[in-house]
This record gives sequence, C-alpha cells and structure tokens, in this order.
Amino acid sequence: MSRLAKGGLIARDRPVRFRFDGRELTGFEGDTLASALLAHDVRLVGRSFKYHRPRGILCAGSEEPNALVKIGEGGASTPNIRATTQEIYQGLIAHSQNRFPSLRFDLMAVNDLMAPFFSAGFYYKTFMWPAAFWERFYEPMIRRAAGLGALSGAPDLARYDKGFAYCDLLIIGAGPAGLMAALAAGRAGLDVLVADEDFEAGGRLNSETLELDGAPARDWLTTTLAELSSMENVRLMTRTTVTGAYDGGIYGAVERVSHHLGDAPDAVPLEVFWRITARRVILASGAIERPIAFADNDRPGIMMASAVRSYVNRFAVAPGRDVSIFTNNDEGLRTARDLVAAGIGVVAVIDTRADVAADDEFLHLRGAEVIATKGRLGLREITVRASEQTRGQTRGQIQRIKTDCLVVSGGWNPSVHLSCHLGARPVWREDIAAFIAARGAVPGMVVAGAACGEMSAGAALGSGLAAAKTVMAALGGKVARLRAPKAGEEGVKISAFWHVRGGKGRAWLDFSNDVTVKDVALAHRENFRSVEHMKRYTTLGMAPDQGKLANMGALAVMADLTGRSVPETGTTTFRPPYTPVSMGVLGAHGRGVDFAPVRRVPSHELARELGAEMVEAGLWMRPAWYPRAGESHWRQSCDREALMVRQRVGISDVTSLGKIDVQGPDAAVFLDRVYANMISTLKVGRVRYAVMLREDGMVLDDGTVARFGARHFVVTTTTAAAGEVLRHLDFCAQVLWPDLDVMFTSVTEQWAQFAVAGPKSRELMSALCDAEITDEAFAFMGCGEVRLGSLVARLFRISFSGERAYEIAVPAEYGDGLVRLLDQEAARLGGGWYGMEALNVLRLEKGYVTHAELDGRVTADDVGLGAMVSAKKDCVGKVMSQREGLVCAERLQLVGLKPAGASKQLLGGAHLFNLGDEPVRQNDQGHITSQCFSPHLGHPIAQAMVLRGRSRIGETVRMVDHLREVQTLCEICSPVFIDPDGGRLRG
Amino acid sequence: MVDLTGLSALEGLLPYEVDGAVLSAVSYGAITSIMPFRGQKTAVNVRLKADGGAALPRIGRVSGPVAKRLIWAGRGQYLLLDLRRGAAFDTTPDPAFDELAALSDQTSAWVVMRLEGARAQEVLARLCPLDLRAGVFKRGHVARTELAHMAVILWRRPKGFEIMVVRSVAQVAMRRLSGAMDSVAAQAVLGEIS
Repeated sequence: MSRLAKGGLIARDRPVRFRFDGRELTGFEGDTLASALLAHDVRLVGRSFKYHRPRGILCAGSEEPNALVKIGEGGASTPNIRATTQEIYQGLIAHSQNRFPSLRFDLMAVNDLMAPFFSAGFYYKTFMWPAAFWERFYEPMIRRAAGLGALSGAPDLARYDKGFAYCDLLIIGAGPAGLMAALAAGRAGLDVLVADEDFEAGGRLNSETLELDGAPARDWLTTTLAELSSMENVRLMTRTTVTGAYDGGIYGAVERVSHHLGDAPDAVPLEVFWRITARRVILASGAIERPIAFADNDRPGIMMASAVRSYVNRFAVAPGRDVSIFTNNDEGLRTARDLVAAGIGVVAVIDTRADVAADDEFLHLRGAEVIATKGRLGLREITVRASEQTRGQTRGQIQRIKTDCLVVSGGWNPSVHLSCHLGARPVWREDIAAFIAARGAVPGMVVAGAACGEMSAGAALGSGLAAAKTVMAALGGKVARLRAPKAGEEGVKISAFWHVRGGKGRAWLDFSNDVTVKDVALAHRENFRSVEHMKRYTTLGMAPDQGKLANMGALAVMADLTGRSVPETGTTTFRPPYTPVSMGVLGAHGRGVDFAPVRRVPSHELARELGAEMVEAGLWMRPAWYPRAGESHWRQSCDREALMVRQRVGISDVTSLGKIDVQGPDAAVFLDRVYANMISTLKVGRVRYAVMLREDGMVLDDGTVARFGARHFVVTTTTAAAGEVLRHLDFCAQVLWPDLDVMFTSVTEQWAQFAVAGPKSRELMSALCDAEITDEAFAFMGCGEVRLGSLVARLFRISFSGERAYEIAVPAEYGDGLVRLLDQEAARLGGGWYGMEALNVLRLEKGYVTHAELDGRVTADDVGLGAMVSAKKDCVGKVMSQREGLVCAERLQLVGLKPAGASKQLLGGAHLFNLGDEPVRQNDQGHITSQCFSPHLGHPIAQAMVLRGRSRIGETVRMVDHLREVQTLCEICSPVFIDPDGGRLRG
Repeated sequence: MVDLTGLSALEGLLPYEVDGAVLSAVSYGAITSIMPFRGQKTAVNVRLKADGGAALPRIGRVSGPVAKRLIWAGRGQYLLLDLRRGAAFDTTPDPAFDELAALSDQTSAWVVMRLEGARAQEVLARLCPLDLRAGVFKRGHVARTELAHMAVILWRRPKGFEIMVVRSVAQVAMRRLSGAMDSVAAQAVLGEIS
C-alpha cells in the first residue's frame, strides 16, 4: 500500500470498491482512478500507441498521455478515458487498452524491437508497393498494430444533453486567478460563470502546501468557494471543460455530469454540451508542466513533478519509496521538500543548473543530467552524468542511482490554447522560457494567472483581481474593495533545458503518439523543418492529448537543429477542442427520431390505424400507400388506389402543400409581378394554375392561386418549395417593390386540406357538405366557402389527377374529424384513401409536372408551359427567360415515353440515346425524370426531358441505365397519357 | 348535416410535471394574425381599443390583458390571442377591418404551451438558443426563435413562459420540452445530493 497515513482531500471514511483489469481494488471518495491505482502500487497502466511500450501514470490532469483506459463493459463501455480525470465510484470497471493478451505480457511489444524500421514517416516509404496493397493489407495491418482503445461496436445508449448559457463574464479555470476574479466580479454584481475541468474547484491550491495571508491556502479556498456559492449571480461549474473559443464571444464547453456515478438515475445525461455566450472572458487556465526528453524517459514510475505533488498532497499517495528528481527549475526542490514532509525518501535531486545554490538537505547534483533509465515494467535505476560535488563528496562523472520513481520538471507551459482558437499566435517570454497568450488574441478575453506567465500563487491572485477590474472597466461595473491575499511563494527560476544530448536510447517527446527526439531530427534531415511540416511528418502532437506535453519540447529540438531561436521557430496551430469531445455529446438532441422535427399531417392518426406506409416529404410524413388485406407488395396497393380514383373516388391528404394568404390593396398587382401568368384578371371565386419564375428565368415553383375577395388571394405551393416561395415573396415585397401595399402570411398550418378525386367525387362532397355541390356553384377551377354544419370550410374544384376533383379545407383542429368522415363516406362509394405513390401515378398519367421535372434547370417553355408566360405584362424572371440560350431550339423539352420493345422497364434517371448511337455522354439525348407503372394503361410510362423533344413525337430512342445495366427501346409521345381533351376533368 | 368536433394537437398529453417545472396546454379560443396596411396602424389601434383590447405592441413586445393578448409576431405582423371561443376575426368578418389590415384566422395553426416553475428558464435553455435571463428577456418580451429546430414564438409570463409552435410539430415540441424537463430535474437532484 502506498497510501499515506494522513493528509489529502480524500474521504477516508468513504471507501470505494472498483476493478482494474479484473483486480478488485479499493480507493476513497475524492480519488481519481489514477490516484487509487497508485495507492495500490499499480504503476503499469497502459501500452504505448506504436511501440507498445509499457507505460505508467505521468500526470495528474487532462494532459495525461499514457494512462488511457476503457471504462465500463460491453455496449456501455467508453474507451480512451484518462485515468487521471476519471473519478472512481462504487463498482467502477476499468480495463487497460492496446495490449494482447495482457498488460504485463503484450505480444505487440515486438514493435519496440523493430523500432528502427518504424521511424517517422516509415509507412510513407515502406508500403509503397504494390499500390493495391495499401487499402487491403497495409492499412488494416497498421491500424491493428497501432492504436488506442476500441469502440464496443454497439450503439452508444448513454443520454447526452446540450444547452445554451449566457453570462457577463465567463471565467475559464477555478484556480487562484480564476477564483479571485470570480470573487471580485461576483461582488460587483456581474453575471459570472466559472468553469473548471476538475471535480474540485481550487486548481493548484488543492495540490500545493501553500500559505495565503499566513494561513493554509485551503482556508482561503473554503471561504471563497462558500461565498461564491452563496451568490445568486455566480454559477460555478466543475467537471466542465471549455473546449473551444468561437466567433462572437461563444465558447463550447463539455460538462461531465455522470461519468463519476455508477448508478445515475435514467434521466441524468452522461454529458452536457454547453454553448456559452459571454460578454467578457477571463482565461485563467493555468499552466501545464513540461517534461525533459532523455533516454528511455517513458518508463512507468517516471512522473511530472506537479503531478507528484498532487498525488502526495491532494490524494495522500506516495508515488514511490526512493524518489529521485530531475529538474531545470525550482519545482524540483519544492517537490523534494513536499515528499520529505510526507515521509517519502528522496534519493537525489538532479538539477541541470550548475549555477544554483546547493541544497544540503538532499543529494543535490548540479549541472547534472539523467542519461539512462532501467526497469521495463517499472523504473528501477537511473544513470546520471554529474559534474558537481555535494556534501563534500566527489561524485564520478557517471553514477547509477537506485530509484523507483523519477520526478521530472522541465518548466511550465502556460495553457494558451483557448487564446489561439481564433488564429492568434502566442508570444515568447524569455524569463520563464515559455509562450504566453498574446494580448487581444480573442476579442473580449483577458488572460490571468499562470496562463499569462504569472507563475506564483501571489502573482496569480493579483492578476486575477486585475483581470476582473479590466472587465469591470469595460462593462461598467463597480469593483468592491477587495485585496488579493498575500502568498510567500516566489516565481519560477528556470534555465531552459529541453533534452539530454548523447544518451543511447530513444528520448520521448510525444508519449501519446510515440514520437522521439530522433524522429524530429529525421524530419529535419528530410527537410520537414517548418513546425507544421514536422508535426505532420512525425505525427507529433496529433494524438488525443494534442501535444500538450510534447509540442514545446519538439519545437525546441527543431530550433536547436535549425539554429533558430524557439520564438523564431514558432508553434503549431492550436485548434478546438482543448480535450477530446465525445461524438455523442456533439450529437446530443439529434439521435433517432430527434434528428429532425417531424411534421404530422391531420390524417396521421387514421393513416397509422389503417397501417399506411409513410414517406418523408421535406419534414412532413405523408402516407405513401395504404396496404389492404392480401396486398404484399406496394405496387398492388398503389395500382388499386390509382384505379379506384379513376373508377370511383379517392381521398388524399394534401395539407403539406404550402398555403399563403395574400391580402392588400396591391395584392393583385403584386401577384402579377411574381407569377408568370396574369393573376389580376382572375375573378373572385375562381382558381388559376400559376407558375413562378426565378430571377434567372428558370421555373421556381408551380401551384394555384384562388381569389376569395377583391384584395384577398390564397396561393398554394408545392410541399418542397413552401418555405422557398414564402421567402421569395418576402424578398420581392421588401426589396423589389417596397411601394406595394400587400401583406402575406403562411396559413399552411391553419388548414387541413384533402383532395377528393374521381367520378364520384361530387357525390361524396355533396354528402359531406350541408348544401349539394353543383357544377354551377363549383365549376372546374371554381372556389368558395361551404358549410359543414357549424363549420365554414373552403372548397376548391381543382385536380392533380386528371379526374373531376375537389380539395376541401377545414381549420386543422377539425382535420381528424373530417378525415374520419371522408373515410366513411368514401368507403360507402367504393372508394378510399390513396397515398403519394398513387398520387404520382395519377399525375404522370395526366402529364402534370412536379419538382422531379422542375429541377431548377428548366424554363417554363421547356416543360410545355411557355404559353403561360404572359406577353401583356412583366414578371420576375421574364427578361432573363428570353436569353438566347434559353429560347434556342437545342433545349431539353418535356415529353412522355412508353416502352416500344421487348423490355418494358423505364427507370428514373436513365439516359436516352438515338438508335445506333453508342451510349456515351457525347450522344446523350436526355433523361427520364419520373416513371411509374400505369395500371390504367397496363404498361410503364415516363416523363422525360429530351433534346428538341416536342418535335420528335413518334420517334424511337434507346433508354440506357448504366448503373442498373438496363436497356429499353422507347417511343417518344405526348406526356398526356389519359383524357387529352380534359373531358373527365371538367365532368 | 355533419357536426365535426375539434381536437387539440396535444389531446390528453398535458400537463406534464417534474420537480421545478410544469408544462401545460393553453387553449386560446381564437388566434388572429393582424397585419395593418400602410398608414393604418393608428386606425387599427382605435378599432382594437373600441373592441375592449389594447393597442398593438412595440417590436418584440406583448400588450393587452391575458384574455385578449396581442403579441408582436414578426415584421408588420401581430397575433391577437383571444381566450373566447370563435372570436377569430375573419371567420366572422368584421367589415370595419377590411380597409385597415390583413386578417387571417390562425386559431388552428398554433398550439400554445405554458412552461412554468422555478426551473422553467433552465429547461428552455436546453432547447432554445436565446438569452432568456430575466434581466434580458423580461416580462412582456416576445421573440420569434427556434426550439430544437422548430420555429416558435415565446414570451415571458410572471412565472415562466408561453411557447407557441405550429400544429404539425406540436407533439415533437412537447416531447422535447418534457425530455428537457426530465434532464434538468434529474441533474438538479444530483446537485442536491453531491
């Protein structure tokens, strides 16, 4: 057991049982999985990405590159969770990853022996030949050998949520700087949101043995947190990582709601993705300690100094028994003192600095370097090259030190990531040998604390307060009298030292992606010298940790090799997200039926009761066909429905078609200008089929215009173009003719509308309405109001089937009632419902067009509606539709097609060729836009766009479907297959 | 003679209640869209007041008493929400309005839900991207906005919000709101435990 007897912020009275790789272990509430494992001397926790090197816990925060584990089992498991941020809970099950058959004995570790072949860019060079092998063999092989955790393959059943938050001030990081800023801004009454990725607020105040104003820092922390939580205007969100900075003061953040709970209630989401909009932001994200590269510096037992202080002070865990320390700054000695205070032995402090005062308390080797390490599954020994005398002893040049834990500190990298997300570059500060956030990097963002290089607690508190004052000056708040507590701690004294030269083994820079100093040197040798090229060539910084530990070291090595300074070499680009974000939380609210809202038609319930198959039309769900007993194929239902309309009567829900109320003194003038045909001459009580053009002369949409009064029209649109048409009308009214006095609003949702079509449709309508529906009152293309008892309905004598037909509209809340009545009445007349499929058959038989034909590339003339473009007036798109290329003879024109050979198959999208021509692009004569089987005619029919089509009626062409490999001889014919003189229609 | 009965889009589905939030249906007898013609706004106001109502509200605002609420609903458009059944203007056309404004009956088009309770705002913030803080979106404020990809009109009430959605998506909106209520309530319980 390595649990210290006292100290720490863990709840020793609340033990927590968990499993790691099948081993039953116990930790305490307040432990992370990493601290709990260290408490059991579990040092080996994973295998590296490429070489399968044994790896241990390196850090204590979200920057951890090694200790990635799988949490949970089966479908509910989540891979690649950092053990350093995962809280333990009762029954937690964790597994190590990327090893086979076991963590201690991993067969793929053979990769490590073959390392000379696996240098940076090895697969670009090695797997060149044969080309076909890449996808089939090489890539799968590499993917199997290299990797992180694997997904379960089962759907992720966890709940995710998302939300929107607004605040005056977003503070990122609840360490000393962040909390000080929150206190000041909170007391000034600002709406403050503080987000911290840890489950405890406090930052390094939880991990260090600091004093503030002469008392333990924890006292100040407790008081401050109590005050903040009492403020209604301050919201403190722990377990919340701000992952990205975006335009307009918007920040993305992931709140981990129940990763730390074994048995959260069902409705609790696993994570919530927040979009936070803040007027101002204080970035107090702290700093990440960086490693030093030396030979075999990746062994389990080698840890960052700040992490070791966290484990000792916060989690009361001893990381080793005989600890050695390798440092280039004062953090080494600070760690040594904390370890000794906790009763842990320190065997040596290896300080790269030769010019610092010796600390006699320890074996303090100055001007010294670690040049080798031993211990494959856990550190046993280090080799040190020293040049100093300590405690009067003269040490040899090379000495070996037995140690089970080597603590490393190479200085600090301020966490500038979020300040760079909008493209700014950080700036170099020589005194701390680090990049800090540039001033004004993100509009509205102030950087405070270690993130801007204020490394001591005192300086961080002061800079947090100053940042809050800057924000208040901008937002106009009044700062309460407030003093930052005094801290005794001094700033970091560092002399830059990046890597040990001349060691024998590989020296790791990027632990996550297995990139070493040698790889960077190779990139340099092969002229990938820009940091961006080096990154891509070596894959450095491209692992889940995004190079939080690796980037600085690598670019220092590159700077060294190119003879440039570190700031001249520059950094790679920091992009969101700061830490990995699950796809589940990004897709929250969008799974399954929630992917998009579904619009229901008024007959939805009855259609379901009748077992109708539904089809999407935009966001609407419309019945496609209504299967009856004995019908096993959709065509059977569709044919029956289409024939039923032709012979008796059919009813169909057409509510989804757009309906727009157009009213006003200038309504008629307005409609004349937006429609190609004349509308103003339409009489009250009449309907006209109308076509609308785009500005470029192509057809935008077709529909009907009904006149209900001198200044009142109701226009209909297709289902698909309803929104587009309304937007177009709005544009015309606001931008083109603001002088016209016309108002319009969508009434699509107000009216439930049903088509009643077939020879018996008048009989059905008469049975339904209070008064008989006569041809005098409702002639073809007539409209008006009818009464259904106390209800006023609108009736239109229009048809999309070629049969005598009506459309009846009632306020939508009466839709279901009318639907059931129609169903009953239609059945009485031997009719019933027809769906989208039959509707399509009926309109194709009659030669009507839909958006399959009006595909945005056709003029009114192309589809045979040229005569509708009125010569007596102007309209949107008229001039452009008369361009030379649009009126020439060499255009595709709408025609009908019917099979003329042995093969009867007509296929939508298939192309047409002249007989004898090779079926290649250059010989294309057009294509089929829609097709169906006509039960009325007994053979397939189609509409097609054919070159000079109208002048080629009677010609035979060859249909070739290259995709489905079908060829059919077809005869070009009129698109009107039934009732060309309209006798059935007019009744 | 047939006699059709009306059916609410949320028949039997509401109210829905969790700790801190209640979602209920509000049945307005008539909802009428009013779009005054050019230069007729004053005349419309006179007419509305003569009917015992309030004048048209400013942009983004609500006016009038609960029983005869007027809400701004977009450019030059207002909705009159009348609790009395059958009070829609254009089903019983009022010739006095003919020259003044375009009226359209929208009683069936909109479904109104009321979300109230201590956590109402928090629930709505899971679905609606608007800044709903009480100091920003105040009583009497109305907005046309989005709720889980659905177009909605919402305004603040003393204890919460009223949310209007178009009829065809009413059940989807209701399901999304109740889902957000569950999520927020469950998280609130977690907060109290930890």
